[in-house]
Amino acid sequence: MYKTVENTLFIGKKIVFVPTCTSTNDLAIKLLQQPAAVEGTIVVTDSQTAGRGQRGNQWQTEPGQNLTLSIILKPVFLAIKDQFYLTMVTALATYDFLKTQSPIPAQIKWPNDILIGGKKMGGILIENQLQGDSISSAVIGIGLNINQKDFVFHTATSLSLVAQHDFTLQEIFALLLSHIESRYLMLRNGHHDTLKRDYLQNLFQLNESANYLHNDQQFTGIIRGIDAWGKLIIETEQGMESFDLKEVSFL
Amino acid sequence: MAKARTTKPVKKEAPAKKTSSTNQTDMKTSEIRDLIDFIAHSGLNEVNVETKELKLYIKREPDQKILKSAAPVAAAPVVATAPATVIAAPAAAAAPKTEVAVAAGKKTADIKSPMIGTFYRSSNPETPPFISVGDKVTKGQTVCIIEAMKLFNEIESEVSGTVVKVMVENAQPVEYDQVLFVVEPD
Repeated sequence: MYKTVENTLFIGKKIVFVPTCTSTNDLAIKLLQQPAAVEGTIVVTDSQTAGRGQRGNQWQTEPGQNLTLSIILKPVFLAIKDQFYLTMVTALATYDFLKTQSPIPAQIKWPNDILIGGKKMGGILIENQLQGDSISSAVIGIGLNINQKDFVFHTATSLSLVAQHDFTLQEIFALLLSHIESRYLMLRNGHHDTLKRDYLQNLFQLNESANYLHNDQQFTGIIRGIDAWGKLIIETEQGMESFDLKEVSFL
Repeated sequence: MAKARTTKPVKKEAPAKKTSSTNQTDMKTSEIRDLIDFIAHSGLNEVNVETKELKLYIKREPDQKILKSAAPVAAAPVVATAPATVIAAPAAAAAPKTEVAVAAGKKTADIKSPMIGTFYRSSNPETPPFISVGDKVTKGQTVCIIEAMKLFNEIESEVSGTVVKVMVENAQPVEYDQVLFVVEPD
């Protein structure tokens, strides 16, 4: 069903399509054992039976309605401490792609959720393989709600709900991958500052006063940025504080 | 997680001195075999044996037995290495599911964290740990996951050997360069 992508250099030249699988990331990680798993290989499915969000959280979609794929990359040039740039690259590329399709601009909810109109329409799950001091490979899992109309949670949405029409998955698949390649090449060419600037520019609630939760305590703060590790920097009454994923939640 | 276990140290006299070193080795081999047979039928889950020459620690899991021997207690190096080399064969013969790790006189290697993050021993809460004490690990094998900011990093072992110690509890934060596992290289 998915054809190789034409307008890219290396992403999407080899595509592994499976009608159903537990998770495209799991399959991609298995593929890494084989020499044929070249950089840019895509694993894509119509139906994930055990899709994962954040560790343990399930990501549920209707079969054949959405984009569910994993990209194999080999970012050996990237220092382990700079790995948050992989999140920035993927989130930004998804943002870029949505900009061409959605009447409302998308936003990136730290660290890696994709929102449209304040509702979640996509998520990213990145799994790296580390070898000594370098990232030998990275599996970039992306799940985007495209044509699905019904959601269990009112906090979820899809591109078709926002754009009021359906999309051809093969077309937007190719488009998304070309945006991923562009942003990934920026990283490979060392444009870290641009990536970080663009990521922050499209970050949900940046420079806005909002409520957050830390250790079961609600507080009001303003997101000011991210640190080198990708931690969220929030300006609170105590001054600038950085928060790990488990240390803060959005309210 | 908590398993009922019986721990009972077994005192054992050092074997009587023989004139030939071959005889001495043979005797140890058969002694160890007898000991494993004894433990296999005893219903004990953990047994510690200490002699002048060697220190044996045998642990039985619900359906398998892990057997390993720690470094000898201040024994003369020559005597210490002798029993170590003979343990493997009889142990395997006596109990096929038994894993043997020999530490006598050998150095260990550390698997360290290459980054700050949260340490996970398995790929998800439902699956068993990548490696446990007594397991063989090969170079390039995934030993754990360290997560930071929703990026999950599979850490590969840079040595082949046997896991002798797990240094960090599941889901605990780890620092850069912190020791995660101790491995006895092959």
